[in-house]
Amino acid sequence: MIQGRALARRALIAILVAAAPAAALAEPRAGAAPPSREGPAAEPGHTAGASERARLTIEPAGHAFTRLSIENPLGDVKVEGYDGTAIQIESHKFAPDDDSLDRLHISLVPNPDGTVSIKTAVDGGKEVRPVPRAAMRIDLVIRAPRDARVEAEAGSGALEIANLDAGGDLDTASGPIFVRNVQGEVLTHSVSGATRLVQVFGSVDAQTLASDVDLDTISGERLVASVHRGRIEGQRVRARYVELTTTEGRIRLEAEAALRGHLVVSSLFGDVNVQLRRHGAVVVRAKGNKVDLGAPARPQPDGWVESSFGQAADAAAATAALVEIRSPRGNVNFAIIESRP
Amino acid sequence: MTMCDKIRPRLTAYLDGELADEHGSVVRGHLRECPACREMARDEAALRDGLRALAPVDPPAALWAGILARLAAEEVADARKPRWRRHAGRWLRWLRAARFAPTMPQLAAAAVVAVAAIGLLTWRTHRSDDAGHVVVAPPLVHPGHGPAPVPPATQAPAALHGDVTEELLAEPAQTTASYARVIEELMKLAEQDSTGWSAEARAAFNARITGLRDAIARAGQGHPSHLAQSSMIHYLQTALAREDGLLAAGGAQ
Repeated sequence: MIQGRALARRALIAILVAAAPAAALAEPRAGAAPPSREGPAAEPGHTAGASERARLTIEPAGHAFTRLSIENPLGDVKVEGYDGTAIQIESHKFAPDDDSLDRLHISLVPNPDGTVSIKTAVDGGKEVRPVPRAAMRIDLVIRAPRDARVEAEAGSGALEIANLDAGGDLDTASGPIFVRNVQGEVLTHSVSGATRLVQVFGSVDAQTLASDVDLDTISGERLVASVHRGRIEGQRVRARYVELTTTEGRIRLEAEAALRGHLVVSSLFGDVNVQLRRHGAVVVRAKGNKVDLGAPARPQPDGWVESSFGQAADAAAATAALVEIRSPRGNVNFAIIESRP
Repeated sequence: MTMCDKIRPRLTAYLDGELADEHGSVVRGHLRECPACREMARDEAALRDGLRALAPVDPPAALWAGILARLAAEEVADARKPRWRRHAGRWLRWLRAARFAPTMPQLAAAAVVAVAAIGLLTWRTHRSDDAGHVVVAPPLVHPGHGPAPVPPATQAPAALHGDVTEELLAEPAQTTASYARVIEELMKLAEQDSTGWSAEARAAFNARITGLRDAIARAGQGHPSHLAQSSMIHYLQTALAREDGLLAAGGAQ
């Protein structure tokens, strides 16, 4: 039993939220509310069946939780940072009946390095009644310490993180991604889930294959976003290095040019529209099917045109921001919407 | 290490249908030509079949608590051992197993203990070697229903036709295929554009593509593979939009 407690202290055990009372016994510092079963699920899309809610609070055992790793292929994940030290998990399961509901499991594994892993799964086996995926669901709402980094994967469910200070790494197949008020590096990948990032203060790398990327109030050293088939919209963007790329799909960017900043906006087939708030000198180079830089432009070799804004003195040129806009098969529009010396 | 030494530790996983195709094929091939390993596999299968035929047994709660404590103690002790001692321990277990071939009557007589032990065997099969990354859930006691071993969440569920498990198992491959389709689409565009590139640019492009394809192959499956595919897509997009000035320099960073 002593060794069992040592195991718990080292956090090498897993706790199933589905059996929360047992989990509370296994981990003395974990508090859990008994899961409550409900009648017909009230969730949209689940007109009949069973559902279960459970809550679990995990207190840190001697060291802070620094990383939260979540894999939920069965539904939504929402993580919100707060000023506490514990991790609070609320799960909501949906299934057509009680037997199917019992097949849904959530495991929680606190590791000694401060990482907490949360994974959802469905029991299989030949003895179970086949249930289509659309009828089974687990949604997770998690409150985590603000300075924990979140790494989350989902399938068709939505991923949302908010009010965190250590960034996140989010990956979905078709589910949407929403990031709000997050500091630190944010990485997002999705096949076809719309991606929206609002108030991110740190470097961003966002990629989707077939959906849109919306960026609002992004401020960091580096912003990279790429979309294969879909648009990119950015506003209130301020980063020293900005690189937005689409294959098919327009790009609209409203950004602030940093001193010595570098903005590269490229689309193979889509139109590109860039509006810039300028602090100091800016050099704009563009190439496209039809190019409008909003000012007289000097033709350059290989079809490029170039225009300069602000002081042309050598000192200013050394700190000038460089903007490169390309759309080999689309139109390019550029405008300065605010100028400061 | 002989081929038998390599194959025998995998027999349980093979019989459980948990080995990937290529590993399963290796085990299957060895069993066709090795009578000793075939005999061992037959014994293991007989043990499993015999246990399945037994009526469900609910051991007393105290027994289960003892097993959990023993599992925990063994796990901690095992994790503290150097890697070579863990491997040596496995070989010794298999050597012992080879000398003792249990018969069905012996199995029946030991039914209660064996039912508990099968949980231990299953659990150990899925235990990680790295103490810092143990992610296996211990079986939990369901109040009023005796011990109910619950498969760990990290274990891939057995797929059932038309069931959620089938769709979940297929999902990573579908995502991989989506990324692969986009890569091929962009590669076709690159082939069309490359007619206008300089020889230097084409060579730089080809070298980079080879490196990115190698990275995808090395990444394996699932999320790491998707990240490697993403890198290749990003490079292709950037290279196509930026044209040969960047390609000559080795492509997008």
